[in-house]
Amino acid sequence: MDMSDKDEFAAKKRDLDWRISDSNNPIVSYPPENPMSAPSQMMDESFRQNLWHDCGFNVQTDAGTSFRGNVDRPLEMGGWNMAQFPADSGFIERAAKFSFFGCGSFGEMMMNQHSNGLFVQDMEKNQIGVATGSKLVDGPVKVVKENGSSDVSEDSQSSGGNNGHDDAKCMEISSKVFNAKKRKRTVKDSEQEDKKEKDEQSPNSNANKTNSGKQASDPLKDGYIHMRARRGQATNSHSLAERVRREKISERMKFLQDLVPGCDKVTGKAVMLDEIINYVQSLQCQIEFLSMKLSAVNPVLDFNLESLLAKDSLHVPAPTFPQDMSMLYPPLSHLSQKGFMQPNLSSLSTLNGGLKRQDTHGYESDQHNVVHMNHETSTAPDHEKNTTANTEVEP
Amino acid sequence: MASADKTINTDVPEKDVFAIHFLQSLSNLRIQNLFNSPDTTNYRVRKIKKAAYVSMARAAGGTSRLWSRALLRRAAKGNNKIVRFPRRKRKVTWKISSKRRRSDQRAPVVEDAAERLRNLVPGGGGMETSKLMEETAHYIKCLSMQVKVMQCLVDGLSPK
Repeated sequence: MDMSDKDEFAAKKRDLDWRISDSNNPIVSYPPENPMSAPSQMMDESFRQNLWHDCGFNVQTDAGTSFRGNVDRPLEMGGWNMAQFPADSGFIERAAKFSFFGCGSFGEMMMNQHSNGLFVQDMEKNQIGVATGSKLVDGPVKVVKENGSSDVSEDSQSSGGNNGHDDAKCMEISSKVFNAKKRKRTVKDSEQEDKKEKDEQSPNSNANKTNSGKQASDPLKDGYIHMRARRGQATNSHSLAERVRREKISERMKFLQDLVPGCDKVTGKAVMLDEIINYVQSLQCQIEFLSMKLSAVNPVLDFNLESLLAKDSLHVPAPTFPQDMSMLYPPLSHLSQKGFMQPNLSSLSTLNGGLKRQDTHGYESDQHNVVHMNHETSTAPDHEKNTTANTEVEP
Repeated sequence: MASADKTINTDVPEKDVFAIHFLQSLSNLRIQNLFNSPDTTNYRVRKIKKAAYVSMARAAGGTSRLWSRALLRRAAKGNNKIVRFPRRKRKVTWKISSKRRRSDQRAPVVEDAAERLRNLVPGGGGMETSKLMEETAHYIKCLSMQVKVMQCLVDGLSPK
């Protein structure tokens, strides 16, 4: 029965046979042709049938640590109920051990560069039901169906006490964006000490709570970046720092992408950076062009500014603004609170009794307002724009 | 557009602040009696452009932004004025040269573009790439705001 089950299981395996090799991870990879040569006196048959059949995992715990996951199929634990697991203490222990490695490698697998894209998608869509004998103690981790998890978790808590620090939280990976990384003590690392920034992912000091799946960054008290080395990548301090830096840059580039119009469809750093550069250059050109235009209308401007600044009653943050408060302006409290110039120009309109376009939209509307007002007002020496128009209208 | 990211803060003041600063700088220009007898149109244009940038830097936060500080310092140097900036709390900063050397090895695509950006954004020479991106974002916002203000002004003042 053993072999039949497992052969069947092996036959179902497709393109996602993992070959897990990681120096830190004691999981031994074995060729797929030799699936279960020495299986498990450990696994209960029922457990196997329930668990492995459904989710397609195979665990050999004789060596204790070889793991292989077949994840080409969506791992929907449709009928899989944790309550089916026998409450066997030995099993629990093994399962707990397995889950540790499963998590560890699983997490790393997801971030592995060689990982299949499909796999990642599957993982993201479905809840991965890794045999969780581990402690599912904390709330956010709900890999398996919640109704079934309590059983195993309770059992495992008793046994899997010292089962690695990051098995429980590895489950977070499935339910959240997969960002599992191995913990790396960066405090000892002098390279990272120099980057005193708190924005990156930081593990808690408590060894039991790894937030390997969390995206939110908790600022550390010491202010260091705590990075985790991803699976299959160098754990050199330099490369870690590199990755931190690269992630920061890409984060900011995403921010810039929202800012620059028309950058949504652009993918790729190079093209987007070119777009950004072009945009900045175009903005600067626009300023130059507009300043040329302004200098062309400049003689008009002179009359403006004098009157404007002489009569400006705005409470401007600029401290050097002339404080010739004019009594002409009514209290601006009833006007829009949006900005400074707006109430000013709106008040002008009310003064003149002209257009009552007290728009609060923007500066443009007030500008148009002013231009319109010019036709109606006769004496408006105190309006900056009005004098402009007045000098135009009455040459 | 307010930044939702708590790590990057790129809020710019309202358009009105920019407008006020710009008009003030223009009035200062006028007080200098430049416009009554302009030597060349080019001279006036340059003056106005400089006034626009300086007012933008002031409106955008004065000395609280790296690019605005660099801009103001550059402008003040041109006027032979001595500008004193208040001392800010600064984190550990790297030396520029060492940073550059290292950054050349990193992601050459990004670094080439960053080099071009550094030439565009004032004060970009002393920034690391990630910081440069932040400053660029804020700079873009302020530039667009300033462009809007100037456009409004031109529209309002241009004879119909």
